Order: sequence, then C-alpha cells, then structure tokens
Amino acid sequence: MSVDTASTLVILVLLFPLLGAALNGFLGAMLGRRFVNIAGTVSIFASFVVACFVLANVVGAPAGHSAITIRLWQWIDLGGGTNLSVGMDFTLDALSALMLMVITGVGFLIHVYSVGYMEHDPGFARFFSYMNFFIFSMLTLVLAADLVILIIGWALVALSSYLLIGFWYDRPTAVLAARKAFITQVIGDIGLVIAAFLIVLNTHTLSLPNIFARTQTFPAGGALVTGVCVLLAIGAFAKSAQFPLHTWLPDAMEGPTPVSALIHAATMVTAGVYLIARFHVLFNLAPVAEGLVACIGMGTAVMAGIIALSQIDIKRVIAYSTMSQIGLMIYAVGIGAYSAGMFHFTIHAVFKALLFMAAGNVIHALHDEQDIRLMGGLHARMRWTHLAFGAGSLSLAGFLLFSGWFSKENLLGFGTVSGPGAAPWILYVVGVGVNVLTGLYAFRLYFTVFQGEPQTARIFAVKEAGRAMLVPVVILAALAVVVAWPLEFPLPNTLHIFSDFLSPVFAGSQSQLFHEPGLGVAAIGLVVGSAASLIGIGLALRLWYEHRPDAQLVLGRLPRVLPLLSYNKFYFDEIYDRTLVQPVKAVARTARRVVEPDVMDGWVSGVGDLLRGFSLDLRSIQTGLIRDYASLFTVFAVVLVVVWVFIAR
Amino acid sequence: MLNANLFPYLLGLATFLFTVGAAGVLIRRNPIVVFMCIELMLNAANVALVAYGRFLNSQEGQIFAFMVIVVAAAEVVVGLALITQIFRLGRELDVDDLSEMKE
Repeated sequence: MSVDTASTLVILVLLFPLLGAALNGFLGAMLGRRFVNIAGTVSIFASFVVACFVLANVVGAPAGHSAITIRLWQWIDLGGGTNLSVGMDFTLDALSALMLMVITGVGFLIHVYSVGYMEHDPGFARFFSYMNFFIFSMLTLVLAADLVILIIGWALVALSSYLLIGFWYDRPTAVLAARKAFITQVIGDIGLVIAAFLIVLNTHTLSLPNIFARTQTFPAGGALVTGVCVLLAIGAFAKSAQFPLHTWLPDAMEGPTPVSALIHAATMVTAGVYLIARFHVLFNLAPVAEGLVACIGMGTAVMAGIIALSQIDIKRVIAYSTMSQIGLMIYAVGIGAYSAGMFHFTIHAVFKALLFMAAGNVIHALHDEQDIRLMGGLHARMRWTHLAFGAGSLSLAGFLLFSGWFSKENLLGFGTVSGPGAAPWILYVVGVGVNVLTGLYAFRLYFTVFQGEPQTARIFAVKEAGRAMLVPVVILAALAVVVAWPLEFPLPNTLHIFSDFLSPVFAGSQSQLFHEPGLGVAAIGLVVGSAASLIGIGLALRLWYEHRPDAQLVLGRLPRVLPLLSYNKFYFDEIYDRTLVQPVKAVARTARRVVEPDVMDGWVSGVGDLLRGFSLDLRSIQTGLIRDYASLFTVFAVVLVVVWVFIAR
Repeated sequence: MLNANLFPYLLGLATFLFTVGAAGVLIRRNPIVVFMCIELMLNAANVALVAYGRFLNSQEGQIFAFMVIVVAAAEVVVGLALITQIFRLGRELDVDDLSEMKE
C-alpha cells in the first residue's frame, strides 16, 4: 500500500468519529434525536468501511510489506540538538488493522444498540458525542506510531471512559465511580509516562518503529529494560483492570449499559493487552517482567472468577468475568503468545459485548432492575435475548465449537509449555481452574436470570426489546457462535489464518518464555481444557438449575471464609479505603482545618487588612472643611520651599 | 528712576500682603472675606512680579501681572456666582458649613 493510500485511510478512519462527536456535541441538542441517531451511527459505520479497506490493503500487501508507517505532519520540533520531534505518525499493520476492525465493527453494533437503549434519555446528544469521541480516541491509540500520540490516545480513552461512567451525573454513585476510574487510570498513566521517558532517554527517538529498531540500547534482561517493562505493565494493568489496579472496573458499571459493552468489555479495557503486544520487542528482552505480567494476569483471572461467583448485580458479574478474561489475555501476552492473546481479545470483544447488550435488554425490560435474585424465568418472555445470552454464555464458558472455545483453548494450549520459572505449566493448571470457574459463573448467571421460576411479579409483564436493541444482539450472537471457525483451530499444523495474519507483526523477536507445544501436548491440553469447561457448566447446572441438595451440601462444606471473600470482593475496596483513601482524606481535612484558615487565609486577608487599615487612617484627613485643606496646603508649600531653599540647594 | 535699594522693601510689602491674605483664608469663615483675602494674595504676587521686572530690567514681570489680573477677574466671576447661588438656596454663608462633598 502506498503512502498516499495509507494517509487517506488513516485520516478518514479518524475523521468520521471525530466529526460525529463534534456534530452531536455542538449541534445535536438543537437538531434533535433523529439527527443524532443517524450522525452517531453513520459516522462509526463510515469508519468501519474505511477499516475494511485498511484490512484489505494489509491482507493484499506483498509478503514483508504489510506494515507501513506514515507521518501526516510534524507536530513539534523539540530542536536544541536533541533531534527529537513529535510527528503525527500512524502505523497500519496487521495488529492495528485488527484493532480497527474490532473497535469500529463492534463499536458500530453497540452504537445501533444505543439508539434503542437511550431512546428515552434526554442526554442522547451528549451520549452519542461522548461515544463517538471514545471511538476516535481508541483509534488514535491503536494507530499511533509516536510515543506522544500513543499517550494522548491513552489519556483520551480514559477521559471518554470518565465522561461516560459519570454520564448520569445526578447519581452520586456514578460520579464517585467515574472519579475512581479516572484516578486509577492516572496511576497507570504515571507508569506509562515514566516508561516513555526512560525509553526516550535511551533510544533518543519518539517514533515507535525507531524505538523497536534501537532495542540494542537496552541490554537484554538488564534492570533498565525490566524496569521499563514493569512500568509499561503498570499502565496496562490500570487500563485493563488487573490486580492491584482492578477495583474501578466493577464500579464503572454505573454507566449506561452500551458504555459497559463498548468501553468496559470490548475495547478500552483491552488496551493494556494491546500495549504489551505493541511493545513486545521490549518485553521479549525482559523475561522477569514477562513472568510478572503472566502471573498477575492469571492471578487476576482466578480472583475475578471467584468474585464473579457470588455477585448479585447482573452487570457486575459480567464485569468480573471481563476482568477474568482480560487476565487470561494478559497471561497470554506475558508468556509471549501474542497472537493467542489478540485472538482471545477479538473473540472476547464479540461475546462480551453481546453479553452486556443482552443484559442491557433485560435491565431495560425490568425498568433498571439489576439484581439477579429478582429475575428468573425470563427465557419464555425474552426469547431472542435469551438465545443470544445463552450463545454468549456458552462462548464465554468455552463450550465445544463455540467461538470462545477456539480462542481460550488456543490460549491455554500455549500455556502447557510456555511460562515463567522452572515449572511453566503451574500457571497452566491454574488456567484450567479458571476454565471451570468461567463455566460456573457464566451459567450461574444464565440459569438465575433466564431459567427457574420468576422471582418477582413484574417478570410476567416483561416484553422483548425493540428492534434497534435486538438486531445488534442477534448479529453478535451469530458471530459468537461462528466467527472463530474460519480463523483458527487450537491445534498445531491445522487452520491458522488468524495467527498467520498477525505473524509479520510479531516475527521480529520471540519471547524466551514462549514455546510451541507439540501436537500431542496440544491435543491433551485441548481435551483437558474442554473437559474443565464442561465440568464448570455441569456443576452450575446442578447447583443453580436443578438445585441438587447434594451439590449444595458440598458447597456448604467449603470453609466459611471463601464465600465471604468472594462476596466482599476480597475486601480490596475496604483495604484501599483504609490504607489510601482515608489517610489522604485525613490529610486534606487537617489542611482545611489548620493550613487553610491560619496560613493561607491569614496571609491573603493580612494583605487586605493592611491596606484597609492604611486607607482608614488616611481617610481621617478628609474632613470636608476647606480651611483644613488650605492649612495643609500651606504647611506643605512652606515645607517644600524650606526644603528647596535650605536643603536641596 | 527708582532706587535699587527699594527692592527689598517692595518684596517685604509683597510678603506682608501675602501673609495677611493667607491668614485671612485660613481663619475667616465668610466666603466673601475669603475671596477678598485670595485677591489680596494674588495682588501680593503682582507686586512681587512688577518689582522683579523693574529691577531685572525686563517687561515680563508686568506682562505676567496683567495675566494674573485677568485670571483673578475670571476666578471672581465664578466664585461670586457660586456664592450667590449658595445664598439663594437660603444657606448660611459659612465655609465650614459647606462640607457635603466629603462623603
């Protein structure tokens, strides 16, 4: 693809969402709902069409020439002999093309869904403006080929996320959740920015391709590259809601459901996975950092899976499942299985957006009820939503031949032989446990919401969602079943269209932790993983569908502490509140009580008091008596003359 | 031809007249008397100007004296107009009473 074609495609793919955001933001409220609905969705669809052209160009490029980096214009020349310049640099390669397809494709369906979901909300123009702006920011992030542009995109998605979580700004909980999310993002940003400084200090360039070409300035396995990678990983953990920066994601469910589907499931929260995949050249030099990333990813996957088992808010269960699945992706990129991580990202974007939107249908139909204990029996009343949710759950749980099965088994297959430390398979075993957990929580949710007896009377009055909300869900449900079939099969030497497509991006260097499993190991892994998923689903069936007493009894024998930890989310919110939030608040309170009135106010009003006192003194000579003025005038005239005659001369 | 020895006496006369005028302005409360005192001060200045002009062999002193007379006339016109207006308002003619502009 030529530079001109690439420039045109990049400008167009970014321009449409930005234009949509501007139109909806500035004119939307004036031009009305119909205009906003059209402008909001068409802009993303146009962007999707351009993304398809990008994909066609990348696929059609001759081997070895699929990646192209263009400079639209030079933005800032830092000069001063540093040779540094910030350019509007963008990369089109297999990785960014894949991200473009997912963001605009899933994004478009979610925008269509939003037309139905926000039908009665007065803030529709603001909503679509923010959503379009998010798509623009996310595209900037994944296209950026310059560190500064990357960080700008990184920060802009956090901003859009903040705006959309706090969309219903009259709800105090939503405002608090937005603030929490933003503060956590900023902690990650600090990591990313310090990493960027270290990179620039050592490579003397801001351009990503140049940085990756100059990795010899980082000694392999050295403290420097390890530090850079850990800092990058902190940024990725904050964005992708990984331990210990994960607490913002469940609270982010305060935003409207389409926001949860788009930002907090399909796209933004996977930016951390993208970041590590994009910087894989650096990570490959730092096996220690990679091992840390893999351990934290798998740890988060287990923790979030356990928490998801006992949550009662439908969106929070899905949020924890998102956290768990992203943990698996982070694990994959940690062990160097980048294609596998990105594949799971793609499939996850489909089925998780689907789950959120189907959950949104349920919430909408029940008039904003999110407590799953008050649902049940919805399968008869919301036939399509029920089918779609079922397909999404099967895909999430990794049921045989559903898309999620392909991506998750593929991912775990690499875990059998790759990983940190002397016994890399230990994390794999944990991963199989996560498979069981996934089946459990996915079907606990499904059975509780859609099967069983209706728990409240209003279930009987429920109607299926409207067309705008149903069509995207059904399309995604179909995709959640079949999308992986032509792309990848989780055994070596079989179908690998997806990883072959991405391989040019990751061909340059390979992680030391990464090993290709042989056919035998992969087959055993496939059987074990699939069996684990089935066990999870089967257990869920016994516990929450058949309500078997013997199964309940097993559950009752568990130590009391486990359900307590799960229900209270391992007390992370409480711990952070005690150790971070309360001390900071105490400092702030002290400052307000002591520093503010005594020091700051004393100093500010001191200046005022001084001047006021001075003028009050001076005012007393203004008597209004002409003779006083004349006397003063005379006295000073005489003084002046005396000074002039006897002293100055 | 005046004797040059007269010069200090003329300046002494001017100083005396000026002091009398200034004292009157500062002490008296009747605006008409205050005005007369101001005229006295202006004329003291005139005496000094003419005396300097005479003893320095220059016409400028006398020219300035005429200027002062014209300005004084204009000032009296404005001042007397003000005084008549105040009188027509029925107020007592006392400069200490006229202090409303203070606030």
